[in-house]
Amino acid sequence: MERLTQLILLPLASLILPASALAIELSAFGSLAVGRINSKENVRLIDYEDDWSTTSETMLGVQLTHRISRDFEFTTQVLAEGFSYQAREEYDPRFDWVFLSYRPSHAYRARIGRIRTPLFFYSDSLHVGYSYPWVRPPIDVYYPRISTLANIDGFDITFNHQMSESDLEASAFLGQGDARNNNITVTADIAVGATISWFNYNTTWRFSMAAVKGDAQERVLTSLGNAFEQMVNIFGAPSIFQQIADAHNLEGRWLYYYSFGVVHNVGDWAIRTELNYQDESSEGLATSYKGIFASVSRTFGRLSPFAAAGFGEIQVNNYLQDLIYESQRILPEGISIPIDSLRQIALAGYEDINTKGWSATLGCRYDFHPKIALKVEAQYFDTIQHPAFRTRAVVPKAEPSVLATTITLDFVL
Amino acid sequence: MSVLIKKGIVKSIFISAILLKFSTYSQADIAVIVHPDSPIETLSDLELKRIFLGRLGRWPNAKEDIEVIDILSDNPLYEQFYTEIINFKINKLKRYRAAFLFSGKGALPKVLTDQSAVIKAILDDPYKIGYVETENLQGNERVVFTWPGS
Repeated sequence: MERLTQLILLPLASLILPASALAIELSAFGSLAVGRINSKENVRLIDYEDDWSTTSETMLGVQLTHRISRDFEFTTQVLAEGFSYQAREEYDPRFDWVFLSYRPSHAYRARIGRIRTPLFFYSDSLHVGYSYPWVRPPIDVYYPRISTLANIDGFDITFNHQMSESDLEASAFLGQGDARNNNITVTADIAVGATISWFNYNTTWRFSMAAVKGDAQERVLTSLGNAFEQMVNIFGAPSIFQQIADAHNLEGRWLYYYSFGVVHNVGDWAIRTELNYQDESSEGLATSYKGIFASVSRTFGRLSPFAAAGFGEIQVNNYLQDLIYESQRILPEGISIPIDSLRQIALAGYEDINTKGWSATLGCRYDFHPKIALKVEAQYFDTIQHPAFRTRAVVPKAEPSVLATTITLDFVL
Repeated sequence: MSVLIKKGIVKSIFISAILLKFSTYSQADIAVIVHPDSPIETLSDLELKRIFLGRLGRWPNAKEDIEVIDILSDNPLYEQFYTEIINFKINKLKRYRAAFLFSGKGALPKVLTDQSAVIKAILDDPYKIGYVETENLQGNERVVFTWPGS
């Protein structure tokens, strides 16, 4: 799909551009980051380990905007990241956005191509560190698994209504996409949603909802499903095991996302809060995720210290556990050692999906140059069970907390 | 005695700091200007906010895009214009514009080096808008908004 987008949109844009009327604007943004976490266990936050890393959050983005006519514009954004959840090579550039926009009046805009999935308040400027106070948007809400599906290929329509003292903006999108991080592959055959935001210069409210139908392959779940399938094949086990094997298949599920965010400015103070909720269709195995953060910052000239606190929790329903217990009633323990072992591993694995934890962040942004900001941030997680830690399944539970320290230079050009 | 001297020094420094704070830049009278053939006669402060923050991209009475002209950010006029008229602190404005530009919502204002360049650009194009100190007006621009300094 990525290549398809590039193959279609890039030549199309070139063909309809009158050479004499080219209005190209080139701009760039990026972050130079160095950071580490203080854990010596097999824990990773983003890609940070206990050694200082200069690649985990270092990135460069280049945006090209091509004004085709009064109403048409072509925009592309190429991003090269030191680490990405798409498991790419370091700094392997990718087309993050490639879209044509049509704006017949100020009130309407339509875009087609690769666009950002507008799941969060900061979705549109997710990688532009310069546009927000922290080193990264709070990870309790901007949870990597959700952020995996950051872009879709499709279209959106936006309507802007200006009221007496404020603006109301509503948009709807439809598309498809696929994405992968280390443990999870998400394929969205249909991604549809809507966003409403209200802006009055001191306060912005934003609500978004999305529904995604597709497939999600999670490494642990896929392995367990395959193992139960093998049990059925080898032992001709009762049909309950086929039912268990099938329940690990997440194809065709609907996932629902909701998020609500507010930014409020009072003088030199800014308060930001956002919460999100993700739920899968309730038939069979389903997980839910909820996250929330609140942040406050104060500007003293060029200095903007900030603090944030958040909470994230992922829960799996009891559907598979209940099937396993049902299988133990049909085929009691002690009859087949392989099946007993598999059931024990599976129960531990499902329990391992249930994670929750809170985080606290302190930091400061220093705007020492009109286009460059220095940020220093310390982020404390109360437990390694926080969903942001993607390798939790192999982590001993002895380590109660992790401190992430990051320094970045965010810039725009 | 030494305590009294120290108190005197501290008091002097404090008074000097206050005087310095209020004497570094006298606030200028500001005029927002357009081309004399522009379809716009006047603008409200809310319309100005929308225009300079990119939330109103086309002239209300015309179908052409508004081309906003800024002055260099190290010019005191820039800070005065955005903090007093647009009511956006500079740090907030920088973050807002980074998000605006890199979310593909539109282009940022064109930046010119001085006020005479702003006036020249506006007189060359009926769809441009900019701001200058009132004392620098040449007389052939159309003033659509004024802001008294101090």
